[in-house]
Amino acid sequence: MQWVQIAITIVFWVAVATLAVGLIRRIRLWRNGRDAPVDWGGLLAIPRRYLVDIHHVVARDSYIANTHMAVAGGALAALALVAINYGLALYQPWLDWLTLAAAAVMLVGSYFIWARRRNPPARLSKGPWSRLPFTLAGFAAGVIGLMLVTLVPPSATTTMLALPLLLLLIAGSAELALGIGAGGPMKHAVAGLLHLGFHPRKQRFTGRSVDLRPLDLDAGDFGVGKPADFRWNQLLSFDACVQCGKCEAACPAFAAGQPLNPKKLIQDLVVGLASGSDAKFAGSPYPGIPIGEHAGAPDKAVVPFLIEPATLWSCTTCRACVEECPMLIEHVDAIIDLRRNLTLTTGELPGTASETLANLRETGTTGGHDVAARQHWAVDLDVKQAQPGTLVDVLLVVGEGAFDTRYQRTLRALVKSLKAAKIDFAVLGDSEFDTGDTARRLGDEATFQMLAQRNIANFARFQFRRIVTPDPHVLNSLKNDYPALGGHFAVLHHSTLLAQLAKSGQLQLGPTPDRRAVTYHDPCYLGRYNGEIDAPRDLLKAIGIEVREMERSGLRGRCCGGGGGAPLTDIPGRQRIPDIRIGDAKATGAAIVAVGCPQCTAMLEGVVGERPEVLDIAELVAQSLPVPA
Amino acid sequence: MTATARRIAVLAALGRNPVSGKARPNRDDLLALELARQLGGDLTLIHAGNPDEAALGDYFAYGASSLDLVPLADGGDVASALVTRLAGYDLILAGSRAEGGEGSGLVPYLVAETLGLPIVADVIAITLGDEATEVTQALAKGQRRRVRVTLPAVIAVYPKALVTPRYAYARRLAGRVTTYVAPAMEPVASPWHREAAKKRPVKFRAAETKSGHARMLSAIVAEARGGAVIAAGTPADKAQAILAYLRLHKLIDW
Ligand code: SF4
Ligand code: SF4
Repeated sequence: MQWVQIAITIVFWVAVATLAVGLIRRIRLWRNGRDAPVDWGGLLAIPRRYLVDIHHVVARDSYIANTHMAVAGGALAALALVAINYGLALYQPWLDWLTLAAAAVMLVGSYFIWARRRNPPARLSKGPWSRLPFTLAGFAAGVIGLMLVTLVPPSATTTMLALPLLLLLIAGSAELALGIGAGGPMKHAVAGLLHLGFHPRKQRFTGRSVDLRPLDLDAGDFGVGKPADFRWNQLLSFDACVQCGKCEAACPAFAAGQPLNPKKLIQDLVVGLASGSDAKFAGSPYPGIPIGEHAGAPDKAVVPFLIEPATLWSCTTCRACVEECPMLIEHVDAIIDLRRNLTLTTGELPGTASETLANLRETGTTGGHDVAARQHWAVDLDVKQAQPGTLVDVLLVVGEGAFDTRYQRTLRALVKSLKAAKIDFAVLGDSEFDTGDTARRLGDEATFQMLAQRNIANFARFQFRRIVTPDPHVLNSLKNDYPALGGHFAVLHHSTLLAQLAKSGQLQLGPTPDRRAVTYHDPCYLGRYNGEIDAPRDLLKAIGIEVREMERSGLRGRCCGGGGGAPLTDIPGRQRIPDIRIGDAKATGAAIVAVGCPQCTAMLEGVVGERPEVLDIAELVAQSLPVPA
Repeated sequence: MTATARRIAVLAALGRNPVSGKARPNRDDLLALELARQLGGDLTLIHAGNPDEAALGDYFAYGASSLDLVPLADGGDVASALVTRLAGYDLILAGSRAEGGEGSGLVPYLVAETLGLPIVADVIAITLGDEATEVTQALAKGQRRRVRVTLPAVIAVYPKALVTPRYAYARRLAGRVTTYVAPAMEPVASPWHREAAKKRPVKFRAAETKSGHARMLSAIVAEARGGAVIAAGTPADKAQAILAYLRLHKLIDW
């Protein structure tokens, strides 16, 4: 069947050319973005990043992991074989057999995609994505059929079958080849691989990477106002999205009915980079905002033409979306970039956010408090104040919670344990200012940098070995955000220190006198941001508590709603995020929710009605200190 | 004259954060600035004082594109310094309250007096018409009064004016200060004079020991009010009863 083989060769090269043209068109769009260093070495790392880093995420859903392996693996193998055998016009029958086998694997995988999509979860996009199992199966079937046609002796039947099979192959190839240029579902294959190579946070492949990029304010960098203000590799990353909706399912703001859906946000940015309207989006809308009323272009302001400000201000920066995304897209970076532009160029923040930022500028505290009052909670505890020239082991940075009477109980409990362990510690007294975390998450980079510089200069006055803080936001700021501005500190969460002390025996703990059931809520800024999910659990175990895990815990914990300034912007939804989280806690039957963060304490305690008691780990630990004889 | 061609001046003072004492734009003057911005027109922001004060730059962040500065030494007469730059404006806006030092909130009045202009105080909204200018005044108990004003006029803005000043850092970098030569002024004798404080009687008050619930009850139920009325007895008995009360509540220690 000479002519069939030649036809396949032609189809192959036409498809390759189409793909190349499409890719060039797409690259032009990405290049509308700002410059970013091009890390060509990243391209070599693609296979490892694909097989290791992506696999970590995808393997959580083994059904789709196996299915994708069959389809993508089969397709890649079949394409490679066709490229050799037909692209180079070798026409070797044994290669045909291998191609046939690869296509068969792909066909089986396509069946499973179809099976999942018969009754799809709400998070999956429909539209063009619904045709994918058919076009992929068409491609696989076309390849299988044509291989058979070339392998069997020519006859009238094969001649008759060859033409429809070729059409099937062309249809399937069109899906694969047109994807990148026309923005179809298969765009993800090309953009996804390139995204792995040019990922804007390549540090995340070697460890945790959550620090935000400092803005060069003097150079007039005020974040992202229009799609072309993103760096080019961020634009590329948006194109990698497969609209799987894993981020949507994890997003606390979406669950609470606030107008945010991280999947739609990424798709809106794709619309912005490619010009158009969101009318074709076939997934869940932002709750309360109808689809089809927004449009964008690379040089058109994102807010409010493409995305409403309320969408950006709903985010708690909890990173649950980033944790779940199989394409390793960085939603939070995009949201912060957009917030920065709003805050720095218009100052239009909802709720009490503007007031908080003014407080930070004028008093160095979010609540507008007198810094001199920050250590009043310790007035009767005989806590040392750090003195220049005197070395202390631990500098205790207490954070904004020190002004809150509820949280002062936690601080006092912590001091009790530190004293029991004979730790040499001191507080900063009236020179402790807010780290600027809230300002930074609200996009106010100017106030953040001002506070960071002031704090770094202040820390330099004192001698200490390490900083300990019970506030994960302080922890994250000092540990991850300050290094870029020249502040390098050894920072520990109080649970980490207490767990170390309990383990080494320096802190003697008895079994807890409180026998009620306990569940533990992971603060996002401790768990997902800083990877500390074990110390709090170890500590609870050390006092004889067996944690009843909630449905979402550890690195995949659900946010309390308190991060990113979300309680200040206070975007209305159907429900409140902390209510959802307390619901999770109640479902475990626990009578106590252990927490490790002042924000979580305040958010969860703010839940009305019957609920488990909210106690900081430090309080539970202090309760278990043996009574001095 | 059309509404947008009006010349508007906003008087900008330096304020202080009441907790930290840090210099900042005066809150009420920010409201005046924001009202003026919303009116459109040709806007000038004028400050008399120390030209090196960094916090003045925050006025740019709050939306002023430039600042006319009349240098003035500490203790100089702000109103007279301002007046030297205020010729030819249709509207002069200022806040109602000062935030520190010897600030008295009288500047708009003094300016109006010197320039011989009418002043409208406690203004929360302004509508510039081609024909007439209307302002809304805040009165006691939430009442509002609409007043028609002939321009030029001075307007003192009420602290609860219906605008929200917005701080945008990018604008801070873009603002420009124009410094004028300070006019030669006779040093004014300070209208303030100092005198020693007199000791005043202090009213004794028993510390409240009742629970919130009990206090609520005593406010709404006559019987729950507590205390005693002593009508009978000698003056000495009554004095003893008062002494006992004072001792009980630790208001005297003898
Ligand atoms: S960071 Fe959290 S709140 Fe923000 S979009 Fe992601 S999941 Fe939603
Ligand atoms: S952003 Fe990531 S998690 Fe969300 S839909 Fe796209 S690929 Fe899925």
